[in-house]
Amino acid sequence: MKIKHQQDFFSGLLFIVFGLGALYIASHYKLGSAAKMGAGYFPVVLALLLSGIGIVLLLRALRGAPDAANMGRINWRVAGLIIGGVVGFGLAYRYLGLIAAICVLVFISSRADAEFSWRGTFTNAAVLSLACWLLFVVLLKLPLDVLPAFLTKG
Amino acid sequence: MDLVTNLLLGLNTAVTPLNLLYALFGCMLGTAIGVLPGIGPVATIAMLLPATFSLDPTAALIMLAGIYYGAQYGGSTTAILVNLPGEVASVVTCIDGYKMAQKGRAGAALSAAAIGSFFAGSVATLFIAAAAPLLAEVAFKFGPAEYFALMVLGLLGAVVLANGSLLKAIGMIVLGLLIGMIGTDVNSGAERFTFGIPELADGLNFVGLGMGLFAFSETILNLEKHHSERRIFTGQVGSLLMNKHEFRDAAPAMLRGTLLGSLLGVLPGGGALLASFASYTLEKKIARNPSEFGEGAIQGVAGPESANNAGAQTSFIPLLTLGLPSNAVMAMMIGAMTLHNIQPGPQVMTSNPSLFWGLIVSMWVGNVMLLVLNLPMIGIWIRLLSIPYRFLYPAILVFCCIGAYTINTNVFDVWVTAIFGIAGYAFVKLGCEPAPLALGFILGPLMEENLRRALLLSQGDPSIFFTRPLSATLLAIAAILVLLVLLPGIKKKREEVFVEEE
Repeated sequence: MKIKHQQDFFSGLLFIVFGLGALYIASHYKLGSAAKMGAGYFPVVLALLLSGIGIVLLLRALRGAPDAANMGRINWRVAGLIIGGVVGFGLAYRYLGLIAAICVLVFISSRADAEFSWRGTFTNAAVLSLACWLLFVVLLKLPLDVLPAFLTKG
Repeated sequence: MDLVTNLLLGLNTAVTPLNLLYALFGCMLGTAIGVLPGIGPVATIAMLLPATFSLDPTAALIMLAGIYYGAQYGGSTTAILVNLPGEVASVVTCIDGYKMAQKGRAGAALSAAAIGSFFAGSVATLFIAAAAPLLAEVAFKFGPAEYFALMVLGLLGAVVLANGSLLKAIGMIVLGLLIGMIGTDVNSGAERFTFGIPELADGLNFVGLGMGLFAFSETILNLEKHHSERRIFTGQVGSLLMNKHEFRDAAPAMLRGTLLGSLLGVLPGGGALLASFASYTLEKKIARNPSEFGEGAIQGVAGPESANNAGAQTSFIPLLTLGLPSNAVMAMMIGAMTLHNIQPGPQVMTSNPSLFWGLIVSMWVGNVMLLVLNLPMIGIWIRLLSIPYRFLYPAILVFCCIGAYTINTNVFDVWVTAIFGIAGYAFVKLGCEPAPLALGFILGPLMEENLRRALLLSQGDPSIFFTRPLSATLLAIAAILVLLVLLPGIKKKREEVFVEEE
């Protein structure tokens, strides 16, 4: 079996997985009737529709569309560094506060660029920390923990 | 006259010092992100939304709107000077705008774009002021069946007018609707798809979803590309004045672009992008000398640039009168209104007239500011282009993360953006557009609510959608749209219109 249209094949698969997953979960909700819809009615309809679309896409991809399109290369490194930086921000913020979180995010995400330099990244982190502190904490007075919790809350 | 009183009320709201300041801020920011390739209005609005919490809702919306139409001005600068679309809606401007710059007529091209945009923006403002009340009046007569049918039309229309596979786009809508179901069901109080996570009980926040789907995945995609694509402008802008010959060609193109853009902006799926593509196609078709196109025809700059600004503004009409977003930027605006406790829909005009008219008049005020910002001050924006992307994208990420956190002062929303960042990247690789998902997500709860009410009224009989004339008409239009796209001739044409985007 050969997949003629990779993009359609995997989107179809994705829709089927989400559709059937949602169908399974929603089947535990009260269905009700068309006149008196329960919590499960609309989700079940949507889940069936999504699975249906997925199946059609999948079959079409196997039969082979004339305008076959491949997935293209997935750049795991860049994607991992960007999303990893965001997750790093969340974790660092929780334990170490805003300034540390900004530095973690800038240092991790900057590695994704081909022209990475320690000096440039250091400057960027310093400038952004200062700018964010001024803008969000001083000017907009948003409730942000600037420093690590163990320093401020003793 | 009613219109005059309303516009005066709007003027009173729009020219208070604070609102002027926020309009200026939005326009400057819009121009900046328009000039800079690699960051679009959806991501910027998502990024700044949390920062508008403490603002008055009118000021917040004035600023956010300024970002969208401001980006249309800025986008043309980059397109003309360095042959890169600063904004997707400026893709076609590159073709002839850059050729003009190479011939030493950069100044004239910039003028044509800015003056065209200004003219279009002024006309579009009047168009909104005149059309919105009429449409809102119609909207008040809508029952749940009509609203449901309208949403079906809006969602299907949005994907028919976009490019790419229709079936996949519909799949993305349905997926978006399902994601919109996450949270507590308003009717029964039952929690749905929350997996026992308390933060999900109120549903996912659109801002976090939008940041991940648009800002993060855009960043990853930009970094994937090679750096040689970034160019710096080295030439001379030259005189900003158009010569007689150029003006003769540009003026009617501006007029046509404005009309086309104003109309296309109102359609579901419309807005700046569609308007500029359609205008370029039109100008090429009716030109006396079509061979000039691609060689620096000023109509190819004046038309699309007028059209995209008109379209950006009139796409506010369905949002303000029906509460329906026609594109991802408008979905973001709904997110902004909801955050400020304003339910978008026809009642905004009556319950909050100063906001409604203030926003409309601010668009015209903003256009005046943009004309000044973009012509005499062009040098500043050109310098902005020399900022390397490696300094820019970490800043975008930091702003998004802080913004996501401040929505509920909870790190959970940062995780949400991360998840949708991965999803957004995957969708692009799969050839699935993220915009329909965003629209589905925003409309999901509304659609369910209206479907429920309509079927409750008819005691479960689905024929209510076909026996009520207005709802039947709306659904028929939706069906015709989908069928039209499936016709082989039109299918080919649709692919042609968007082929220049690649």
